[in-house]
Amino acid sequence: MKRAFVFARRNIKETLRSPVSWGFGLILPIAIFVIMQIIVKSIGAAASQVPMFMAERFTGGVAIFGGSFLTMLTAMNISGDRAKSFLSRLVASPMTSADFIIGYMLGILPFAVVQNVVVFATAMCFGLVTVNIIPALLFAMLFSLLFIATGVLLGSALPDKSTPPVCSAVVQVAALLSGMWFGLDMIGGGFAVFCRVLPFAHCYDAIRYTLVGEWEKLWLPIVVVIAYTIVLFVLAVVMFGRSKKRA
Amino acid sequence: MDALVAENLVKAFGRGDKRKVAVDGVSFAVHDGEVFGLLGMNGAGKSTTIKMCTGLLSPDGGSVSVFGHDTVNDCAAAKSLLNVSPQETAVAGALTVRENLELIAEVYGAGRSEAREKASAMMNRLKLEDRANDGAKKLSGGLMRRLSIGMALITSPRLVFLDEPTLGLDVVARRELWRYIRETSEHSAVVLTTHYLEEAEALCGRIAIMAHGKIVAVGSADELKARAGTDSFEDAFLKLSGEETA
Repeated sequence: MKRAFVFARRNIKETLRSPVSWGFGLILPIAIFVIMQIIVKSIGAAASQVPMFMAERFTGGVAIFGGSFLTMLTAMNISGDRAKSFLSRLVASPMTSADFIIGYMLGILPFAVVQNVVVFATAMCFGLVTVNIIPALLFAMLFSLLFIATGVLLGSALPDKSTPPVCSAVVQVAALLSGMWFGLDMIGGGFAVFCRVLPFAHCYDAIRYTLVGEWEKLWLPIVVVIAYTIVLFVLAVVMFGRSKKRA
Repeated sequence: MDALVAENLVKAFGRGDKRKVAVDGVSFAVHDGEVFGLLGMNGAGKSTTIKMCTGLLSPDGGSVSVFGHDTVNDCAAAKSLLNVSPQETAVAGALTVRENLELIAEVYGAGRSEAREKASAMMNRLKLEDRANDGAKKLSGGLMRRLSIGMALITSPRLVFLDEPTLGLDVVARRELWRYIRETSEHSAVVLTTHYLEEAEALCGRIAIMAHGKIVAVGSADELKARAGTDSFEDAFLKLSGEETA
């Protein structure tokens, strides 16, 4: 395990020293949240027509949107290591596959914590007042693992140059299909069913239900997200093992 | 005991009609404390051979042992004794020179204070002290390659693989790296791949020439010249590798 922590320390530095991490992973989601809250406040009573942009709903959406960038950052770190042979150097060392996977995942977690804390703190500044902020924050951090596992999977599977565009697509899909921009219940039909087959809407729902204290609705989204996280984690481990052989 | 023993290594890629044998029954041994050159044209099978010797690829057939430790069945012990400087300058760009060196030292088991001491000593040896706190991605090509080699040597490996270590360097930087390689061979076995034939001739005690996935000749530069009946090592290399033009 010591090697995993040594490697994680390197990945933390890579993440925190990259302007891409701060720009896309923190400033962009916060900017979107702030802009939407300013718009909501400026339209006054008409804001009731767009409830998805109220702080108690939009906070979860922005947490998911920000979380999707963890996929991009993790994938770019791994595919970058593969492209410049840094991974070859480490694969030739006594590091095991577990050291790599744990090191890559732990390496992005501190940033995920900072990201979620800043999102929820910003939401509080814009009127999010509830005793359930801490459990919602913890769920958001738990869901970060889903995005990080997806990042390990994509970073292991994709060539270096394909990683940014594919991860950008993941960011768009996560935001669009989570329901943060429009209520899925309002749209209904096959599209809503499709969105609920994927985990993003469940992440959004779980944070939303937690913030308003609708605990009885929480179990389904939590089970779906945890199941997805486990499956993606297993796939990531398998794919990383294969990518090591191509290092 | 030999530092490295490769026996009847075989590796093929692809399936069916597209199957291509990259390494075909390669056997050689590297003695402790020698610089062993592995030469060949592009596609001769050098990189695949190196990858099998360093545990990056599993051979389809044959075996590799590092100081008696099989790289498949006793992988951890074998890997703890070797280190690699890949062909590309494989450094962590966001880390400083010092951090890169400390990272590799710690990955190979050094504690933090020990890693710090080793990094200081390596920077002193490679004349990188004044760049200790510079980001690796800001280094020039020559300095980055020097750092990459430092990362391979900081663990005091008993066997080190240097894959085209002087590629793209000017003559001064190249000569400086030759000096480091000679110093390294005083306490380690070195496997060197290079396309610079004068480099192989100057540094290597023995040289293996690969062609079409096989080793076609092994010996000192003088022995290879004598065997080929040529005065220059370049002519000997071309003749023995079957690439001699009229």
